[in-house]
Amino acid sequence: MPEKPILRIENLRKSFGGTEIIKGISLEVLPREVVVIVGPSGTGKSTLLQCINLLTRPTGGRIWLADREITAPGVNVNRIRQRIGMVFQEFNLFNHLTTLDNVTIGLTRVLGMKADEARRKGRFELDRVGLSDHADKYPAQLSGGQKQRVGIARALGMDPAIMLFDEPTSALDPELTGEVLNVMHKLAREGMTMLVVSHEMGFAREVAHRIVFMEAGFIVEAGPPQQLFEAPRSERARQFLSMIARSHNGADSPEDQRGRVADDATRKP
Amino acid sequence: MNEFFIFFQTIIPELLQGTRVTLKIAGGALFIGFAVGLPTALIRVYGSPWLQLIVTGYINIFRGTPLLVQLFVVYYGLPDLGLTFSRLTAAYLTLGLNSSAYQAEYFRGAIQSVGEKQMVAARAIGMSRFKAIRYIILPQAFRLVMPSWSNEMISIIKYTAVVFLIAVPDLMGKAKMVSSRYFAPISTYIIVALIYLVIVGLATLILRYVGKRFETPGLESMETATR
Amino acid sequence: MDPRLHGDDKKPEISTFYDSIKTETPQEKSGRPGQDEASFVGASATTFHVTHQEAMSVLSRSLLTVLQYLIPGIGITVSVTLIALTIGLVIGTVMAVLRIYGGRFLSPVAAVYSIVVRAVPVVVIIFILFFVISELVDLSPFLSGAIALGFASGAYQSEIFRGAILSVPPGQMIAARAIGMSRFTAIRSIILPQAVRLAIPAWSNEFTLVLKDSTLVYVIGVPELLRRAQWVSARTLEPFLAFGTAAAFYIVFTLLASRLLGTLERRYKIIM
Repeated sequence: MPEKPILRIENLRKSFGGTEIIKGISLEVLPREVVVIVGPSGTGKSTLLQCINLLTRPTGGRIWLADREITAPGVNVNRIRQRIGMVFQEFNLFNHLTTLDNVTIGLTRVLGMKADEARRKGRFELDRVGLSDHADKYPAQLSGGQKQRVGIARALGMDPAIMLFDEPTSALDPELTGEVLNVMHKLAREGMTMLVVSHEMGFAREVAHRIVFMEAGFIVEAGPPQQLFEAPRSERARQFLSMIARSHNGADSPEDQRGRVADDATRKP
Repeated sequence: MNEFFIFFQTIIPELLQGTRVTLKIAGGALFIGFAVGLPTALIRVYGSPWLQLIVTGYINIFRGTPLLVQLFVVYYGLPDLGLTFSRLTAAYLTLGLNSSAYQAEYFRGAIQSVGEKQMVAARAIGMSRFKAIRYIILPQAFRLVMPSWSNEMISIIKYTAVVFLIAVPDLMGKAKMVSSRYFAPISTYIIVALIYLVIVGLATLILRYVGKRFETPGLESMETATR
Repeated sequence: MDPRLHGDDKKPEISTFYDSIKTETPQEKSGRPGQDEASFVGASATTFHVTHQEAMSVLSRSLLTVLQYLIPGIGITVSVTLIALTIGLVIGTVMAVLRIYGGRFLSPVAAVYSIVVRAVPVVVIIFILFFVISELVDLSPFLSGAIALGFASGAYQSEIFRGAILSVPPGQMIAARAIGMSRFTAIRSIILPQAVRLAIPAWSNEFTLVLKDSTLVYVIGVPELLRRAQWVSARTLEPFLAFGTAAAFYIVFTLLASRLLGTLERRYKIIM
């Protein structure tokens, strides 16, 4: 039975000044689906995510969240953003708030939840990302990997319909990426709908249902990981993937990466 | 030396009366400066281009002219335009607006160093612009602005010392009366200097304590240019 | 006590804009307009026949008078500022060096100077030094004022230079000593030249501060811009025009000063 998509993007365009960054992208994400967007940097992947939760206004095209067109005029953007979780490359944690308060501030100030209820929910989300012991620390006292997990917990707290990840591990030291990818892996298993921009090929191969290869503002090719990694149809995708494999040779080659993620996953509670 | 102590005892009650006025004016000016300066800073950062231009002009006028000139314009000059203030009101108003321009710059610096990313993250969880400023940007800006704000407080205490020139009976005003009554300007003004030293010393200690209390890891301090 | 000190007791006559336009009909003014609201309203009512052109020509005539008075004050304001800054520069540099390298006896002296002087309003320092100097030597208020302002600025400048010296990397001193320089030579030819450049932004700020604080020598009767504005306001009975014009001069000066020092800053920036 064909499911209704949670996110539907139709011919999306975005330009800054005179230059068009996104040149007509159409994409659907089904419930519980994990879609990983790959592609060279500067091809509009992050801009695409920012358009989806309306942090930047698209110049053309339409976006639906479930049945609702969010690009329609008069839509309350704050309402929409509550339903779309966003995880940033640089975490962007609120520096003046403890780990727990980073999660609860959206609950109390945006959703209007009672303080103790919000705290219970906040602790639950911190537990989900394995950080319940760090609830009272400030962002400056956490490692990069822990910060990013708080970032994920903060987004999860709002019970989003879909989570957007904007290169969640690329600001991290290599030895810290595992803990974040683990959490994301766990979320995927729990059935969270996720749209991930990432260079972590191991994660993409292991977790994604579908890979989207983007270049120069277009979707060049999309398909299941098997197909895209083993037998890419387009020359550009083939070149890009072999370049990534070469440059990440050693600890970060796709094979090793997959091994590490799987290994970490079994080690984690 | 003994003579100096006797003189000290004779004039100190009157000087303390003036000190009370000095502290009141400083407190009032800081309050006005905050009440006007914070919105000014917010407009300076988040306002429309036109409003930003107006606000920048306001800030530059008050920061580009001497306080004493401002005081004379307000007290002697504005009546020409039909705006008349009592001496005390003129003192509060001038020092307050003057401080607001400096405070606005300190707040602007602090808000800008909180950074655009915090705003983006707040908007991403569905906060309105207003809520993001209220709950995310300003709490951080307040912590960052503490060192400059402390300096501003000290500056304002010291700058109140010009209000006697429009005959406000502050510490300096009283000192002037006393010194001409006893023909002892040097001793009088040395005692005045000591009183300011004590006030500023106490204020520094209090501010240091308050600053410690609100310390947050990662938001330690930010030194901006102060006067 | 110098009678000039009490110059500020005699406030200039205050009048309204309309009062001052009808200069042909001199009228007894009784103090500030706030105290005689009735006469103010009456005055404005009787002057409605003054046409726009007439008002403008009277205004430009007053402006001319104001400028005649103020322009000689520019030189005084600028010289007081420059003398004070120079004195402050010398005191500030010496005190900063003593504070850091002065050892157990001289370092506390420099610290006390800086802390005490910065805790006391500049006006108070001007008063004290003016009276102390006039007990010792016969100096004009102009020179006493400039010296007092320089003495005060020295404390602020010592903090600026101290911060700058401390932000010169410690390796610089070690490297200088390693090639055989004496401590004094190292400070003079390695540390200070770098510190001076690092200090330019803060020093520019101090420049405009001293420029603005130069109005404070008003209290000892130096005929600088503000004092002259007061004189002319007593003559034209248009204090807003007089003090407003003075304010405009200061804005121009502070803008010019920060432009100039900005250029200096860009030129002597060290890349570290």
